[in-house]
This record gives sequence, C-alpha cells and structure tokens, in this order.
Amino acid sequence: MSQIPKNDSRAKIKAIEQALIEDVYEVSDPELEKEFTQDGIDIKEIANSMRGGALDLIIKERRKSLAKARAGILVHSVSKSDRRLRPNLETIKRGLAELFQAKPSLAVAFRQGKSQSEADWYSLWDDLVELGEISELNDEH
Amino acid sequence: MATDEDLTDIASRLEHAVIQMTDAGWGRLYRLAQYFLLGGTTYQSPRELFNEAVQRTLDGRRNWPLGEPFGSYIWMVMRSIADADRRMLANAVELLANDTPSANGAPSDTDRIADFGWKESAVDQVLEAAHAKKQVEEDLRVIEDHFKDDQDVMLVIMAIEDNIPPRELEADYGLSIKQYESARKKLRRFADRQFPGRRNA
Repeated sequence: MSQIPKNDSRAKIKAIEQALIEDVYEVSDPELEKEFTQDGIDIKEIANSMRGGALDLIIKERRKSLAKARAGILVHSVSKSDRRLRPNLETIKRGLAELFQAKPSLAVAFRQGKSQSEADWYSLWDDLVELGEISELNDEH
Repeated sequence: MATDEDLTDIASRLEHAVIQMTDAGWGRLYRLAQYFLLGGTTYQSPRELFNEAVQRTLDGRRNWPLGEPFGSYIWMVMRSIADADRRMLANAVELLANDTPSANGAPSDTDRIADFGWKESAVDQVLEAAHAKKQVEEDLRVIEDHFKDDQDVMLVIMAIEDNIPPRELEADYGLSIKQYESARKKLRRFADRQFPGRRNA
C-alpha cells in the first residue's frame, strides 16, 4: 500500500506539506486569526509587514522603470542633437579661426598642442553655439 | 474602483491586490510560506520567500494571468520557488556524491570539500546541499518524535505519506473521522508553532 519508500524523507515531508496546505484552506478567517493570537503572533503585524514588503518592492521596480525610461529619453535627445543643423566643416573651421582671433583664450583652451579631429571641430562648434559665442546657422549658404 | 482587468501594468495590479488583501488573507499566505520552508530551502523566512515571489512577478520571471486572484497565484509561485530551490540543493548533493573521486563508499562532507573545494563557491554549495539534506531528515524527525506517543497523529502521518483515505483508516484502525480531523489539526498546529521559518520570521 505504501506510496513513498521508507527512507525517502524528502517525499514524506512533501506529502505532509501538501496536507498542511489543504488544511489551512479549510480554516475559517476568524479561526485563523484566533490561532495566530494563540501562538502569540499579531496577525495585523504580519499583514502590515508583508504588505509593506510588497509595496517596497513595487516602488523599487517603478523607480527602476522610471530610470530606464529617463535613460531612453536621454539617448533619444542626444541622438537628436547629433542631427542638429551645422554649417559645413570648412565654414566651421573658418568661423572658429575668426572667433579665436577675436578671443585668443578660447583657442588656447581648444588646441592644447593637439591636432583636432572632425568630431572635435563639430563638438566645439556645438558648444560655442550653445554658449552663444556663435549664431547657429553661421553658414555661407 | 479599479478592477484587475482595468490595470494594465503588473506593478499596479500587484499594488491593487496587496492593498485589498485582508489580515486573514495575509495570515493564510504567511502560513503557506511557512509550510513551503519545511525541509529546508535557502529562503530563511516566510517573508523572504513571499518577497521573492513578488519580485519575480514584478520583473516578469513569473506571469500572473489576468483575472487570477492574487492569493491563489502567489502561493503557487512561492511553492514553485521553494520546490525548485530544494531540487537544486538535492541535485547538488547527488552530483557531488556521484562525481566524487573517492572509491571507498560514500564520502564524508570533509572529503567532498577536499576534492571539490578549490573554489569558495563550491565549498559553500557542498555545505548548503549537505545542510539541506540534513534539514529534511531533521524536520521529519522532529515531527515523528513529537507525536511518537500519539497514536492518532502517527496514523494520520502514515495515511498522508501512504495516501490512505480516512474511511479506510476508520475501517482498518478504528480511527473515527472526528478523531482523524482532530489529529490532522494537531499536526498542522504543531507545524505552525514548530517551523516558523529558519530564523525569527
């Protein structure tokens, strides 16, 4: 008749667990509350603690989603700013040369003894447009 | 008031459900989580197991079907997490036992650590797995020892393990249905008090 081998402690514990689950669902709510009181446990404290734990996790998850959404917006706005309207590179170089002549301190900060890549020129141009040192569409066309 | 179907994101559905749940509902979930910890898992308290179930629901590792009551959904998730955890620990024991280079009988825990313990995580795993195996035996022993002089509860434990219906117990052993129910309640209440979680829950 035996369903579980005598030495299978794990299966025996599992069978007992199943019986306990079935039985706890048979207990009425007031009876369950009474049992907690008999065990010296405040069921309200248990409820508040479990509810609070769940709500904390929900808040954390929402913050994570919000941070993710913000990061998405940032990436979007950066890539959008990369497509901003600029003059062509030659115009940029000429414009900057004129500006450096007028304001030599900007030239010192830019060069620092290095040769500049195209990206450096574009980036400097964007920075100076944002600073208001150059008007945005300072192009010849 | 918003219904489950009105709330589209999982965080809102969960929030709605946990706010609605009664004290008795939480009490029942707490008891269920206690029972899932029987026999040892890596989860140390009913709350820790419950939080893990909520976290897995929030991050999408578990799917909470629309319309399914939170209580009946979350206890299934807790049970599944605890079962998977126990299986993982049991497999670790079997793997180590089968894989040991020692040819002379079952290796002791010290042998296992000596053979496989070159990584810190392996040592932890061996100890955890061995501890879990002992925990199952220990929990069963605690129950059987406590009721060794209570024939009714011992009959009920035998019936639970061997899947014997109460009517058969009555016919074969003279245990009335009332005695059977009373003995099952004794067993449950003992588990409630004896296994509140591995540390103070």
